[in-house]
Amino acid sequence: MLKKEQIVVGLEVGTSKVCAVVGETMEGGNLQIIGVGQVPSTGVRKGEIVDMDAAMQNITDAVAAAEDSAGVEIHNVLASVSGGHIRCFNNRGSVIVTNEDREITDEEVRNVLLNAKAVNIPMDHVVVHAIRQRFYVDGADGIQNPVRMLGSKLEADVHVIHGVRTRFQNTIRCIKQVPLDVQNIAVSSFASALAVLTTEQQKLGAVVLDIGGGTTDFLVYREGTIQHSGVFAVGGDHLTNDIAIGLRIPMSRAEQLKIEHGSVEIPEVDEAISFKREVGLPDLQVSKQQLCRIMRLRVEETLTLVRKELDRQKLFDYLAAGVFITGGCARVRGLEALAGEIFALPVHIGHSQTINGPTSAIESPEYSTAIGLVRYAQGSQRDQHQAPSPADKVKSTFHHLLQKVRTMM
Amino acid sequence: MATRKSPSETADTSARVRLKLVGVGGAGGNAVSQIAGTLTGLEVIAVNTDLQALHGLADVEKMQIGSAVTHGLGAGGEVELGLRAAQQDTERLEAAVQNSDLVFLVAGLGGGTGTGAAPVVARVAKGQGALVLGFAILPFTFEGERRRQQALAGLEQLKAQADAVICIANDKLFKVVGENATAAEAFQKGNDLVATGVQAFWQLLSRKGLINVDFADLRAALGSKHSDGIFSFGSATGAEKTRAAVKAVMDNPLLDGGEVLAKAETVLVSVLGGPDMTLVDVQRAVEPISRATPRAHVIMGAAIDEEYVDRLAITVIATANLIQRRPPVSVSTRQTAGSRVAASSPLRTGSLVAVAPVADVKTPAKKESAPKQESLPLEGVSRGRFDKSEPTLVDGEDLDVPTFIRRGVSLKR
Repeated sequence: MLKKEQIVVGLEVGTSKVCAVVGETMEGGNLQIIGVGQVPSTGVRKGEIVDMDAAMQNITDAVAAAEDSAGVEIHNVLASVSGGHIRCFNNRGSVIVTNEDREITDEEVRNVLLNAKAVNIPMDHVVVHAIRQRFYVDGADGIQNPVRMLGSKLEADVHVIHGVRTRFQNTIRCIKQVPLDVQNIAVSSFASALAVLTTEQQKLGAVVLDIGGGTTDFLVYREGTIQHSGVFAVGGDHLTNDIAIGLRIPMSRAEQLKIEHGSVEIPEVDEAISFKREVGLPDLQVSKQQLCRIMRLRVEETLTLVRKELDRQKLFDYLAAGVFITGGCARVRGLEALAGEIFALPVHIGHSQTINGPTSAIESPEYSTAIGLVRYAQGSQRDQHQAPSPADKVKSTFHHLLQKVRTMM
Repeated sequence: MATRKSPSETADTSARVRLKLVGVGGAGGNAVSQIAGTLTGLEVIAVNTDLQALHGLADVEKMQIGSAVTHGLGAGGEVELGLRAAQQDTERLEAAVQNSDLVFLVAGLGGGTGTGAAPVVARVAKGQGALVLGFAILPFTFEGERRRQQALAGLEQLKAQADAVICIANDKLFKVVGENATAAEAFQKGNDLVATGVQAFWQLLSRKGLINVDFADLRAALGSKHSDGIFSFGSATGAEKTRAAVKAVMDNPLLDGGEVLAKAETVLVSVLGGPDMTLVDVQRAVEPISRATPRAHVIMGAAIDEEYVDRLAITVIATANLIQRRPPVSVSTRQTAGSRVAASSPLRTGSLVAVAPVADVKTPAKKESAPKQESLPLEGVSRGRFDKSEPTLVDGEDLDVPTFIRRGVSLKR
């Protein structure tokens, strides 16, 4: 029988699917995916739950499938959250070191991080992540871990991600009603980045673009730390909706057409795609060029929105590793080339390369958020049992988050 | 002409382009007959179900359709009859429009023959290899909701068949002619507008282009199914010709004092001048117009006509969603009520019908047509499945509305 601590479950309640990934910490701390459960989502729009009952049923089914596939019982999960209400900013906090010997201890570090995220956010918002970027000791730059250093003033830069409290609560409540314990929550882009980027790529600088069913989440690593992130509530659903309106066909047809024939490369020669309708009606024909044109316009627009964000933050010179696209829409044909044109950076379709497991799960871009959650959980657990490792950016947020999840309830 | 051509080729086209002007229905016939008097080098055909109305026309080739359906009378406002009449005489229509490159189709929508037969004529003409540019005259509001709905339904049909359709709303005539004008003057003016339109388009497509505009551009500008094509034309001579021509274009009542331009999705600006036209002239002509259209995709063209010495003409074709497409309020009941009223109190409706430009009131509507399913109109912008969700606003744009709609990209099907 596996010990409870060794099993971690990432649960993504997404717009198009609800997906649970079961991970197991192996000997030596390596993480292995041992089970995946997935069902189509029916209660979520644009990354946020709109129908609690439907979402609850989906979660129950997905978790049951994951239990079957992994052969374990699941009691608690880590959940991802997304939605257009999520905002971020970078902030600097500072504390005066008051010890007699001026040695910086864990306590100072904790305090400076608390100070850094104590900023004005809207009343109804709550901080999900306050991720440390770098420390300054007496103004000296680029310090990764100041513990046991000497100095009189400690400063810290953090990347704060926050959003509307009640909207996060919806997700947590829904999962709790299943009933499952929610260990922690993480924003989708952060989880996906954990799954997709290696430490090396984080240091080189990279953008992770998770284009899901209802949202496009992005996160930028610069010199090993998270520099920028964001959510646009635009995703694959919008592609389907555009197609349905543009070609005047039902949503289900549009979805099917998008998956089977869709591309963002407009073919030179038009061809007619015909499909059967109900008995008695003639076959419907649509133009492939039109289909692709509709899709290209939408994808182009979404990618351009992200590019503008990067431009605004002047981040283009720090992204040597390039753009990593993940999420279900990463499967859209021709996306790599189009993104290459728009970003003028190397573009990769992201696989979850930081974790071991069955190829079917690792190679599927739509699983990266849930897989990233498992990795996030691992980081958090190690934090509970082991001494802090400076390279792990995840741990500092954990205690705080755990508490928050409890207080949110 | 559907494809891009070099200027020299286009110049040749003007010589050999075979043009036909076809008026369908009462209003269409009246309009083309009047145009035939002012334009030369144009083969003009009037198509109608009503023999009597055809007899009154001058300078045109006349063609009566659907004699077996209407027995030489009008269609009596029944679209179905107009449609059947045209279908019955498809072969004769084919013969009439064959050997032409470009067919201008003028029809008053809202009545029976114009609304029902015009889409058929458009389809036939296209089948014979011609490009079809439709001019749709929309009824006055006071003609009632039924005609309005019939006209809008017909407009959709016509748009589906023709390569491009320009709308001329009769309501705008009030602004053109003023309130004291007689009804005859008003319709005269309406026909003048159509004539100007035909002339402007002909010039646009046939002249040697410096910056070439061809049918492909025109189609791109007018192809959108959910918007309405409007045109404006202005020409002037003399030292201040550019400014005067621009002013004439902008003052055109059809543009609603620039409101149309402000709403427009696509605007095509074509400048026609003499060999002495300078680039600055073109700039001065186009700039104020593109300034007035902040949202639109502007396509411009410039052409030279040897005869246009010291003269400048500007044609503006804009597409915008202008006609309010209100949901049809149970068309069938209104129709029934309408015909009953017509029978019982001729004074009330009779006076309205008399002013109607495409009135085919020769046959009273005895038969009540079966309830017809109207297509649901598109209200404003479409958000589809995100209709009830919170809008995703980025930089003032609602991202839930399909990108192709916001960008005004036409999806011609």
